[in-house]
Amino acid sequence: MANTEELFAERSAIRADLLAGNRPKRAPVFASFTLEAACGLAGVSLLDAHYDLALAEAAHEKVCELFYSDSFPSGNLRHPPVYQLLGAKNWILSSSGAVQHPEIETMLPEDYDDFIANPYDAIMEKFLPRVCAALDGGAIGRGVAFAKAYQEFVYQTAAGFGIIGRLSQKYGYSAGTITAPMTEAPFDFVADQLRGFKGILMDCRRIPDKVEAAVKAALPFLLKLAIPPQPYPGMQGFIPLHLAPYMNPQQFERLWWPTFEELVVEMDKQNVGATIFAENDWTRYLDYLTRLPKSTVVWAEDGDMKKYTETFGKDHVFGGFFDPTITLTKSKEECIDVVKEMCDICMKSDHFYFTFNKGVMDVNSIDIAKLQAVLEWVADNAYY
Amino acid sequence: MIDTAVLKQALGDLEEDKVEALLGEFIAEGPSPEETQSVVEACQQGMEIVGDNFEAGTYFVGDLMYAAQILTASLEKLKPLMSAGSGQEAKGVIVLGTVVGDIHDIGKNIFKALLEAAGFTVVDIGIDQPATAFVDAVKANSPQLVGLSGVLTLSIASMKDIIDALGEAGLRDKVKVMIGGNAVSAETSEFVGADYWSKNAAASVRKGLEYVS
Repeated sequence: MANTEELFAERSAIRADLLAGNRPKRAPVFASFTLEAACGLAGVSLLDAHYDLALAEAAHEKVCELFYSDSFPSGNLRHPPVYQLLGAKNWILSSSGAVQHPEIETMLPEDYDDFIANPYDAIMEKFLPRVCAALDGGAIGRGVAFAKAYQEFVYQTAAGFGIIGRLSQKYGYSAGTITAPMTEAPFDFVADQLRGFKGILMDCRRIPDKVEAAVKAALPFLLKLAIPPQPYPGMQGFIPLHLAPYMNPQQFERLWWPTFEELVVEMDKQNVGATIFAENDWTRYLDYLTRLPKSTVVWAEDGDMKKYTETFGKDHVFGGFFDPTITLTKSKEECIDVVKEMCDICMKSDHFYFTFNKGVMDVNSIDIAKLQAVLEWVADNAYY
Repeated sequence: MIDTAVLKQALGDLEEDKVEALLGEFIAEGPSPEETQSVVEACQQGMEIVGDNFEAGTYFVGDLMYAAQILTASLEKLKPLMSAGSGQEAKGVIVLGTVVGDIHDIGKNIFKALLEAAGFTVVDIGIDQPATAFVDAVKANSPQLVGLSGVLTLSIASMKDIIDALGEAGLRDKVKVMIGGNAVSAETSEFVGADYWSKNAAASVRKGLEYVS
C-alpha cells in the first residue's frame, strides 16, 4: 500500500505542476479507454455491462491491469438506462451496443424565435417531448418519467465515481485533466442537440442572424451546466468541441467563437478551467485557442504538433495526437519511434502531457502489447 | 434561354437564390428534355467547382453540404422535365454504406451527393450494415466500387470483416474498395485491406472516377 501511496503522491505532484504552469519532472501519461474497449479487453458483454455495474467495474479494472497510466484510464460518459427511461432518440445503442448520437432535428427552423425568446420553455415544452417519447404526454406522466430518469442518472453517475475512486486508490492514480462537469460550446449545443449537423450548417447560410441569437440564448444554460455547486481553484471541466472545423472562417468567427470564448472566460472566473477535446484538426484556429485563459487545456485529436508547441503550448497545457490504431500495422519499435518523435517536438513546451488522439473504443483497433510498450516508454523516458 | 455558364458559376459560388431564380425562369420557358439535360450538366459542373474549392482549402465541409443541398433541390426540379432515357449514362456504380456498429451517416451522405453529382449510380445501403448486407448488395448490383464509411474506431474491425467477406464470396477482385470517415488512415487502410482511403469526399470522388475510367 505504501507503494501505491507513493505512486499517488508522485503522480499528483506531476499533475499539479503541469496544471499550475510549472515544468513537471516528466510528461504525465493520461491514457484513455472507453467502456466499449474495456469490455472487449475483459471479455465482458458490453450490453450486460451497461446494466450491471459490477461487470463494468471489472472491465474498467482490466484496463488498469493492462496499461500504464498516471490517471484512471477508463471511463464511461453515457448511460443507456437513462436514455431508455426517457425513450430518447438523441442517444441510442448501435448494433454493437455502443451508445451513439445520431443526426437529429429537435428544433425546426420555424422554432428559432421561440427558442431565442425563452430557451428554457422551448426546450421543456417543445423540444424534449419531440426527442424523448416518455416526455411527450400529460404533466404527471412527464414528471414521473423525468424523475425516474434523473434518479437513474444520479445513481449511475455516483456509481461511476465510486468505481473511479476505488480503482484510483488501488492503483495509485492521480486525477487527470477532467475534474468538473461536462458542458458544450453554445453553437455545438444548438447544432448537436437542436438543429442537427446538416440543419445548422444550412442555417448558417440562410438565417445567420437567428443562429447568432440562438447561440447567445443558449450560453447561460451551458455556463450553468459547467459550474459545480462548490467550485474550487484547479477544477477542470470538459468541453468536447464539434462543429468548428467544418465551418468556414467567417462563420466560425461570427457564429461559433464568441460565445465559446465567453463561456470559457466565465468558467475561468468561477475557478473552473476548460479541458477541451479539439475534435478533428484545429491548427487553423490555434491563434484563437491561444487567446483563452491559461487554465484552458487542449486534448487534440489531430493537427500540427510543432505549431501547437510553439503557440498554444507556450502558456497552455496540451496533449493528444497519438493514434493508437498505428499499433495494428507498425512494429513495436516503429510505434515507439512515433512517440519519441512526438515527445521531441511537444516537450519543447513545458506543458505537454501524453494521451491518445481519442479514447480507445474498440479492442480490435489496437495491438495490446505494442500499446503497452508505447505507454511504458513514455512513463520511463518522457522526463524533462 | 438560360446562360449555363452563369448557372454553373452561381452554383460554384454557392448562390442559392440565384440558382433558384435561374432555374425558375428556365422551367417557366417550357424547355425540351435536351435543353434540360444541358442545364443538369451545368449544375454538375458547378458542383465540380465546389469540389475543387474544397480540395484547395477555400471551401469547408459546411460549404460542401450546402452545395449538395442546392444541387439536390435543383435536380428535383429538373427531373420531371427530362424524358426517360435522356439522362447521361452512369459513370459507374458504387455500393455505399456505414459499417456495422456505427450509425453515423453525415459523411456518407456528403460523399453520396458528390458521387451522384459526378454521374455515379449510388446504391446506398444505409447505416450500421453488416458484411452480409454489403456482399448481397454487390451481388445484386455488380458495382465497380464499394464505399465503406465509419466515424468511430470500432468501425475499423467492421471494415476488415466486410472486405474479408467480399474476398470469401469471390467478389474482392471485382471491386475497388474505398474507405472514408474520421476513423480511417493510411494504417487502417493497410490493416483492413482497402484499395483507397480518404477523409476528403471530393478527393474520393476523383479517385472513384479514376477507377471507373
